[in-house]
Amino acid sequence: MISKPLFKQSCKANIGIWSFVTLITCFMLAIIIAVLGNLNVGSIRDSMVDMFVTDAIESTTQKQSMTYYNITENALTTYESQRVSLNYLLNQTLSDEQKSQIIGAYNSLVENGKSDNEAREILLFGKEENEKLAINTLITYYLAQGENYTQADINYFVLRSIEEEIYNSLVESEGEMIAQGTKEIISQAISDFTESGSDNASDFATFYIPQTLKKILITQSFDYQDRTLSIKDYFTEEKLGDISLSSIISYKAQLDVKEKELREKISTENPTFTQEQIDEEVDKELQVYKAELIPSLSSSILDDLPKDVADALTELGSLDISSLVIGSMFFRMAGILLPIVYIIMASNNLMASQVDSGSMAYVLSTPTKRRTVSITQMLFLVGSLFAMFVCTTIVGLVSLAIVNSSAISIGYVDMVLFNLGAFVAMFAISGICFLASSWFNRSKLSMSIGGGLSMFFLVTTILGLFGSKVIPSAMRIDAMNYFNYFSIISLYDCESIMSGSLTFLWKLAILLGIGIVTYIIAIFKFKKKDLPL
Amino acid sequence: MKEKLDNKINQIEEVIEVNNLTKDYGEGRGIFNITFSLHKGETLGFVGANGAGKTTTLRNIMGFLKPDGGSVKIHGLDSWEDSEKTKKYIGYVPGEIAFPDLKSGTVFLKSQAEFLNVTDMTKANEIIEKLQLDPTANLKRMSKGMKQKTALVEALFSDPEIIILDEPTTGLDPLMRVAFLELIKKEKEAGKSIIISSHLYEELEKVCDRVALIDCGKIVNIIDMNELHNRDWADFKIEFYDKKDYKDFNKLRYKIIRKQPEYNQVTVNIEKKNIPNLFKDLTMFNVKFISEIKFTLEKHFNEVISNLKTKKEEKNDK
Repeated sequence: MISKPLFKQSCKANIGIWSFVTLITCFMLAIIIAVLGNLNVGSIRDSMVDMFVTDAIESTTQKQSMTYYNITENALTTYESQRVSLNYLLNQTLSDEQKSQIIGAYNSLVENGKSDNEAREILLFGKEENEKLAINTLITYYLAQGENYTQADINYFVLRSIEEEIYNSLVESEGEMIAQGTKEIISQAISDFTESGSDNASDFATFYIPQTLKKILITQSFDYQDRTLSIKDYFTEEKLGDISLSSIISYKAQLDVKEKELREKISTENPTFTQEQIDEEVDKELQVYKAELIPSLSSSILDDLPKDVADALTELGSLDISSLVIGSMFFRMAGILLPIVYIIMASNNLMASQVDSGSMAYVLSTPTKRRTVSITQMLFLVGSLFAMFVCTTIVGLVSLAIVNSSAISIGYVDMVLFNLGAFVAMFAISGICFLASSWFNRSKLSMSIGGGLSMFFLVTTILGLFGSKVIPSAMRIDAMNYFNYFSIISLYDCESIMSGSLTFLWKLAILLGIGIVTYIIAIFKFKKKDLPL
Repeated sequence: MKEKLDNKINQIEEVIEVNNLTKDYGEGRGIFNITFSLHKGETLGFVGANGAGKTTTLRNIMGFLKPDGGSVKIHGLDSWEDSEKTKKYIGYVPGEIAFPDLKSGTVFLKSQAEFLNVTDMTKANEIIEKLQLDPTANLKRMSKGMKQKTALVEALFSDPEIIILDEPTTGLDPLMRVAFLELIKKEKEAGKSIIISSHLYEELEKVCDRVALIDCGKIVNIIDMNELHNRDWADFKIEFYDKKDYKDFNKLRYKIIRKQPEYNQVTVNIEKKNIPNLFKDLTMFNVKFISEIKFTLEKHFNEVISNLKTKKEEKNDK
């Protein structure tokens, strides 16, 4: 099956170029790993990540501040106005005497078997509109609080009555989760508001929200802490409070300006409107405006950018440089360029060139089968390639162990798989070159067909890289991805190896198949063809 | 007579039998229905113009080409199907000499010895000495003659039974050519069967038992060298001192094929048994010199070819 002297001859003839190619390839790999490990090529990327994280935290802070301010201010305003009107109804419209009279009458009516509605109807009968409202409210209040008309009781009653209302509207607008959390914050805010004795809900909320929120936000920002250390130093409670306050202030200012603008506009456009109609219209417009204002004020840097630019930046931030350079660039291009040159030259040397020059005559004029010749040459070619990648594997592993840097995300297993994949790809290419070399009697043809195809595959891989997904979209030219479909080297899937998926296995199986088939055809062809020796 | 010859052939052992061998390259190139055989111990020459088909025939014998028709048997083995088995018997010098990518002649010969399973290099050294070859020279820088010598050593050192030489003397200087022919003669004496192709008639004349003329892919003529040397007729060129003798000689009834009156020369074609008569007659004349014009292979084949041409022309005329 194998001719020992022929194998020796092939070794002697090709050892020079083999050593050169192996040495240079190993050297390149070692240099690349050393450079990636020692120079901090990721520093720009790290600062980008920092920027995105701080920006995200700021943006969340702003958004939450404004949203909570909005909710709280609404709640406080409602509370305040209800409290004022209740106070007015209970303490101004009705005297204490009237109150106890009405309550007494109501109680006796109910005791006499009247329902609540019937009792109210009887009491309200023949009263003025103003009085009707007061009496109705009094009864409702009495049912909840009894005959206690102190300020605290009144406050409590209002709080309870609006709490439900706010909660329901929050569930509707923000969802149950947020509504639940917000409920407590608002109850607290209202009671604090009452205690403070302030009468301006908006001003109170402006300062109250940052104080409350910063405690919650600081714990939220801890989620990002494992990304980089600087975040912890950068965000303090105070800083978050400042961000929150300034965002609320600018929100308020913008709303004020807008309100004035709207009021003027509506009143000039509709001169027949009453003040109330104008208020109503302004309020409607403002609600719409608020919905736009919060996102626009709290937008992060990425939100401000066009979507594809933002995506590109995010992608750049998550780019794994070491696997891009070692996997996609070294093992699919730079690192296999010289092995391909070796394959082109060696495969031509092993068959076509010997037939072309006639030196094959000396082998075939001895009792050596043609099949033995081609199998021996094939084994030499495949064996030398295998030895080459054993060398690069060893150099790769040793370099990784020596450099031992966190900047390189490639593990020992990845390194072995990269080399294995590169070897299988080279096996397929060598099969094609060997077939060309066995098919043609002229070196010229063997070189140009086998070498041409191999170079075509390499060049299309290089062009295809610019369109492949490993390149950040900012630099990617999607149309160039079509080149990948023309190259069998695309079947060597470095991405899959890095991501730990197993798709690379069946792709390598195809490459293996290409190699086996081409070698078999080559052996068969060489056995059958005419040799000009 | 024919029966006798047939018997003779039957007694002779055939080492190579080529039967109706055809390899058609199209456009009239190739070889067509070549049939001949190589007897044991015989040296067969192939002669013909460039492109006549000598090398193609030899490549078929070597099993490098697949015949389009016919077959080549070496000791009964098909040269294409059992190519590697036939190689045990054959030593080959290719027409174009190119060596494997190895350092020196010595390394090359050692490598070939491994291929051939030969351990005894005494014969190699003998031939090297005879050819005055320096085998330690770099294979790539060897002159054409040195390469030729190295190739010869390679073909002969394993002591093969059949030796096939494709234009073996091209590139050798005249002295080396003599050494080479001696070498071949020695092999012949040792009982080897040899096929040798050349475009030089003299060379073949010296060593071959038979010579085949190949023209346009066909064997036109095979001549036995004994026949050539032992013809019944001989040509003599005679010059006389004076015109009178010249004229008188012409009056005798000899078959004169050429007259050169300005030199007083005649060329006589005579049956060999009549030579004593000629000499007797010549004693009466004042002869300046007499020499036999040898009938060479070249002359023979030229005759054959001119005959062919006239035949062709006749055909065309018809």
